[in-house]
Amino acid sequence: MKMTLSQHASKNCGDIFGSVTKWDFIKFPFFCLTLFSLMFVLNCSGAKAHEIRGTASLQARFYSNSPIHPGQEQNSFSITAAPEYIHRFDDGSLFAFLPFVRLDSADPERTHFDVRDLSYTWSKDAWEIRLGIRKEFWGVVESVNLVDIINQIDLVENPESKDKLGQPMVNISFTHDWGTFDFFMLPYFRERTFPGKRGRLRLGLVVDTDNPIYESSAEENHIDFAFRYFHTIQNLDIGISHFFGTSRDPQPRIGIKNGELVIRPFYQQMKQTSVDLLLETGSWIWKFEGIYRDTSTTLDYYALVGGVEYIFDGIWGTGMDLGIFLEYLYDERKGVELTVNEDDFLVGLRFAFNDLRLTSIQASAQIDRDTDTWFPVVKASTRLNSKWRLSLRYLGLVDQPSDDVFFDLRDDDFFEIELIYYFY
Amino acid sequence: MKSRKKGFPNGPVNFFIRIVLNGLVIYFAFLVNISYSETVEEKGLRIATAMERRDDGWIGQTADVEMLVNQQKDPVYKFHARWLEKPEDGDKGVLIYKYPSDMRGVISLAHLHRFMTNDMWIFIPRNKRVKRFSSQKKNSSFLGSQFTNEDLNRGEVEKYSYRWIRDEDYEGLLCSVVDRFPEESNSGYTKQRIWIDQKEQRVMKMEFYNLKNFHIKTLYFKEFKQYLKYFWRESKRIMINEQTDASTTFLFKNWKLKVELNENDFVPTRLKKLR
Repeated sequence: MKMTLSQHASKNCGDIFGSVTKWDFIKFPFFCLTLFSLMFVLNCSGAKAHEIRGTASLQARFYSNSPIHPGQEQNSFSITAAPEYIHRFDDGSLFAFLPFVRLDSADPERTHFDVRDLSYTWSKDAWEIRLGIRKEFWGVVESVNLVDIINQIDLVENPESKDKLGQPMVNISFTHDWGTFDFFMLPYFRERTFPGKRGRLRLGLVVDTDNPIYESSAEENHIDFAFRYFHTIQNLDIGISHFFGTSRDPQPRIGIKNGELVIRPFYQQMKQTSVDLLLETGSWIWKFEGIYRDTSTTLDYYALVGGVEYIFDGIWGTGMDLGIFLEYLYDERKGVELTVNEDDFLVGLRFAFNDLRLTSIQASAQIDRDTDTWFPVVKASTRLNSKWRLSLRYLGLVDQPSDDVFFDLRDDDFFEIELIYYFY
Repeated sequence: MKSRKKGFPNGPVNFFIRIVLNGLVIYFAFLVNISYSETVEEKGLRIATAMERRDDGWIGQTADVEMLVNQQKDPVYKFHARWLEKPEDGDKGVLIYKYPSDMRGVISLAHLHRFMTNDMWIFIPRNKRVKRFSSQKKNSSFLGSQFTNEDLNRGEVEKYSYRWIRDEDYEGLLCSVVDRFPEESNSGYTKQRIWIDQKEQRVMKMEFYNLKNFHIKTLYFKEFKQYLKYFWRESKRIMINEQTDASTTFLFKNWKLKVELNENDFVPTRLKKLR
């Protein structure tokens, strides 16, 4: 009965978002597997070890300048819902389901649905097996997590690329005194989301997400693999990873849709080996991420980001603390190909009030050494009461030269206010 | 040791010499023992070590924790806490946030070390990210409470030097009063004065002295209960700020000791499952 309910729900959602959301991945057998475990969960009667929690939010973005590309709306208002169902079985295994939906006033591409989590986790002694759609984060730095490659970026959610789409996977993990080994089989590829014609924060040409190009003939059904080793040696965290499969970063290809020029995302095959390190020495935290990427269609290259954070603790005799960070980003393709973080600095500070409302303010700026373009970001967040949080953000783009990738976004600096409701 | 034995010639005469030498060694050891009087530093260390020993053997323990501020009735935070005993290095602990809603599912992990700085990580459910939490944030307030991060752990014996002050009655119990001086860098205190119940070896009260040696806070351990007919656990910890009178109370409920916990749940890569 629950089965038909969820089918019904997905059909309905499909009707609502059919034009903007790809539901292909539902066909995927993987989904059936997790659905099976969902049915199993719902059939378990009398068990108390489950809960429903989640968030809903209201968000408004105000842009200080008028849009420069035809079709764009000035401001945007949106709502989200992200309920989460968690069930813990008697044997300690865990089932989680976390759908996410956003409805946006301006951009139909930003109105989107995603399954962030639909997974079953089973563990015994040193082994842990995780099946289903999940999120897996790797990395240590503040600016760009080069090594974080399992999940696709949900770009319409956040221009800072910090939000990710759920990724179907089989993940086998083994933990021992000498570290954790993770093996991933990723049987379905998720395409990056891009703002649509009516959305801000886009290039002059719209990205045609309906017509991606794949290098692999298997297209989105290409099976990717990844391996990771992580270990903590005293005050050093070390991660070594290898990935081979479809690149999460599309290359732009020019295409035509309805008589208009568009960008078609091209997803190539690649291999990537990466290292991430974090060393804590007193008040200093040293961070490093480096990748070497080998693709069949473009030149092999390496890219790295490294930096340091310093913690001032209990400042002014209060319980507050301040972290100051400085990072440098380098990409070997600099000057050869279109890159974003090829020779940049990030400076920033994070101020934690450590008050009962857990208020924090973070300000940072990424500065391109070549063009002097800089991207200031200011974020603040505080708890209003036990159910609500308020967060504010300003994202700016300053001094883009006309040959810069971000020139098309030159008037898209915005102020964002978000009210988040937490329920459980 | 071995090389000295090698150099020692064998034979009946040497055997005699050995006996005399051994006798002398024993005699001197005896002498030293008689004339030995314990310094206040040694006595302090002995009391602290004995107290830690007294509590050995709980293996794994769990409790539900609530945080209240200024005697208000409703908790501002709720947690589920688990600790794993690691006598050779330092215990491991996880704190699973349950309330308020925006923090639900956040998990912090601590690896305490006897001879190194502690390691801490925090799992943030929103982006499924495990971040290292700087162990240098000792003086930062813990979630806006009167506790700083440094105050949360009782502290491994090796990280302090000690001085016994006096014995005195406290709430009808004969207590040893011992000062301990943090040896690690970045501590917010010159010393902490501890009242230790001599019979059951429990901390009853702790006074905190800041870097100017002012008495700034007092922590009271209250409502002890005995578990498994051996281990004492408090149901309440109250920290009172001596300047402002502001207070923070931790309530401990559902103590469970000698729980079999999986050590693999106490590694950064496994935190996400605990939510």
